[in-house]
Amino acid sequence: MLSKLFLGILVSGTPLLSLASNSISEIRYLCNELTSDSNKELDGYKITKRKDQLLIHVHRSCEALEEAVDEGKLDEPSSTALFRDLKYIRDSWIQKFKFDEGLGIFDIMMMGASHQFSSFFLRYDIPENKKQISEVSPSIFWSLPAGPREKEFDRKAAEHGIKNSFEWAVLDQLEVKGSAPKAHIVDINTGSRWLMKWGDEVSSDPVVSRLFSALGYNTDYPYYSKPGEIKLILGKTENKKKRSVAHFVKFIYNGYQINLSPFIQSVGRIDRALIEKSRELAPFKGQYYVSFKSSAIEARPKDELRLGGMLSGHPENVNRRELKGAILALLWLGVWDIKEINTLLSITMNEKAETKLVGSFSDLGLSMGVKINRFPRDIKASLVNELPWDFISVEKGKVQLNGHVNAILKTYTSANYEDLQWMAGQIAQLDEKILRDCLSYSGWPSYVQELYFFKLAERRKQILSVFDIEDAHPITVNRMYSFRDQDRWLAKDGFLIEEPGDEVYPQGLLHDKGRFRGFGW
Amino acid sequence: MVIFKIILSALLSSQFLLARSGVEEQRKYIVDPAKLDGDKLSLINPFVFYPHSQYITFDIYFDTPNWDIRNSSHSFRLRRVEKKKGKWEYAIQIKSEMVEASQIRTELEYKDFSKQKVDKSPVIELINQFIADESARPAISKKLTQWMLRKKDSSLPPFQKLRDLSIDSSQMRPIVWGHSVRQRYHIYTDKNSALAKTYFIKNSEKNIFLVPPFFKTNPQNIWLMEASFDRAVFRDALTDQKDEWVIHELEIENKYRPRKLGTILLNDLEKKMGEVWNAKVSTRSKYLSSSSHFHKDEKE
Repeated sequence: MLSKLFLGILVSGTPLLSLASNSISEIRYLCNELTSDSNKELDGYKITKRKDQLLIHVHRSCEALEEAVDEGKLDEPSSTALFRDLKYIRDSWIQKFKFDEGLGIFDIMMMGASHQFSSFFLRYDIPENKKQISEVSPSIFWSLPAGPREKEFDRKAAEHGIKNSFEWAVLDQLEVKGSAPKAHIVDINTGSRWLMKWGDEVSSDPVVSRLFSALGYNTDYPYYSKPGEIKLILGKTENKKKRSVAHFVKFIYNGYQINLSPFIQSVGRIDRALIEKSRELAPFKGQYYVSFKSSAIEARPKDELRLGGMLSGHPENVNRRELKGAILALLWLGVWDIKEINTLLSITMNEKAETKLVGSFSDLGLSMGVKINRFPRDIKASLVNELPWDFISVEKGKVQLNGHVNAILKTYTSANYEDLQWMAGQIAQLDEKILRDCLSYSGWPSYVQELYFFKLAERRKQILSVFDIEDAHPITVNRMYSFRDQDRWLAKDGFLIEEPGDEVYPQGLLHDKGRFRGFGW
Repeated sequence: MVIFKIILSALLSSQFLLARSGVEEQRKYIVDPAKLDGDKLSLINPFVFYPHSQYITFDIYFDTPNWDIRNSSHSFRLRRVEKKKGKWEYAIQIKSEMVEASQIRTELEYKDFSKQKVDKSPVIELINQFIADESARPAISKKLTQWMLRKKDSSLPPFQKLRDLSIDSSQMRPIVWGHSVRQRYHIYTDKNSALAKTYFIKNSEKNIFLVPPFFKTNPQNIWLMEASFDRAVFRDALTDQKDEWVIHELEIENKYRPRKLGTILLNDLEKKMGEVWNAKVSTRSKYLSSSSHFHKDEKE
């Protein structure tokens, strides 16, 4: 009884919308609301600018719907889908406005409650008569990888024209958003925009995003950046003065209470010698630059418009197997931050101005072993020792997922055994080569990667066992993995026992001081 | 400044926008066409007029029976443009008039006509027929009015603008129509010219994706402006009048960034064109000019 009441409270924030049959006036109302310059507000939220991607996509959809009206085809599934997409766009946009207002105390309390009671909700009845799992059709959320699964992330990135290999970037915008320090930067050669991040997610986000991509989902495009790989020119302040390293560090400290100094590898100034080597540095003459021991960059493709969450809890989506089944993959990889806004609805546009609505699993970095501290309040990801070897079991006729998440979404509580079994089938496709390949983009030392590899392989094995799936790619697991460097044990009996070193991993891979304790600095 | 350029390049990457709104700093001049022939272009040195393309546009301008569009200092047109031989593009556009010289004009347009129909007839075919078949013109005018009525509450940007202007588009009908042969020019100056030295003109901060290929292969030239010389012939679409109204107009748009220096350079060019070509500033758009010619009695 209590659980039902609690479930009711937890899922009440999930958007619920009806897709009633629509008329030309309804369509036009929605279209004008989304595109007209004279409409400056949406549900009380101020609209400052409408991006081209939004205008083009919505106008095109609206005109297709008008044509359907003229031809009496408004009730056809293609028209219903178009109208539904327009509503998604509106609702997702509203969600973004709400999120941008910031988290309230109630939101934080709900996260805590969700974390505490996660296991209670993440249990699924095993039916007596197991059904044959039907195929899932491609959707804006998922599609079967078009080629080798380990290449899917790079294939999709190439489609967006993302090139992550560059040496010089310039600081574009400093902002305080979320709890992980970040800054907007621009590759000075191509003009491509990136979000640079520091802290505990710099390795986990690239790995988990690649694994999600290998499973067929759309994701962000985060990359671990090796020590000193990118040199960030600090540009100028609003007062047109050259921004100093101290100013930059101070801004991050004031915004996030994190001292970035231990993350800095080197500092310098753009001088004549550098300009002679790289002519593109000429406009930045005299400006300061820094490079980092550890950081990540996340692409912000120029033709992508990021709206809000992808509305997994929308009535139309609650029955989507690819969304419901995702909970198994999220738990497998220890993703903690699964709140709705961390899914993402975006509109992408290619150079021919063709637009597409895309639903992605975004911001997957709070994962791969998360430690939560209540007193003092803190959180830290990428702690290999915090990712348990065992996470799934069968208890009293139910599949129990043992893990913690910060939100209980209706999409996941309404999943059933078949949904999870379908996802288990997808996870079964990820063999040793794919796991190792994805982990190789982490920047973790080889023995930490190896420890993670065995843990993910063990957790995968348990999934296949629970769902009675024959393993076509069995992986030998060493739960007692140990690694010695000369006379020192760095990993022993399946645990990391020595900190890999703050000269490359200033955030720490072993100690649990996270972002709210300045990573111990 | 480079940061600014980079940000712009990220924001303005697509050159194929179907629904567009924008502002333009452009000026119009009345110039004798003979002045723009051959070597005479070089008389305007150190500004160089480089002819690079020619295309043909057909425009059908619309207004209400009360001339609300003209009275609100706007023009509203269906346009067919042939940039490549045999390849037509279509657009519906609303544009504000230039009330005084160098005033910035706003334009809203929509270009994807593939789905636009009236009684199952594609609008693009109606436009083609309107242009090609004189006898069919009255009937097609009615169909286009019907389309305007159908779209008056739609989300197409020009119709949204009409609603903002409180103009009822349900009775809009073709007023004038015509074609223009448009000769386009890049206007540039050499990096070592006296002009460049006088004003310390550096490379434009214009979004690199929007700079024509000519300037990428000729980096010693600084892109300042873009010019079009139109030889236009307009006819009345409202009555049986057969006479034609010829318009010769040179339009110059500031392309230099920062825009402020571009405006100064435009002033310089204007002065020079006045002295050498006897060019006169004009504020009258083709619609204003032709509709006033054919319908003198209507209030402007």
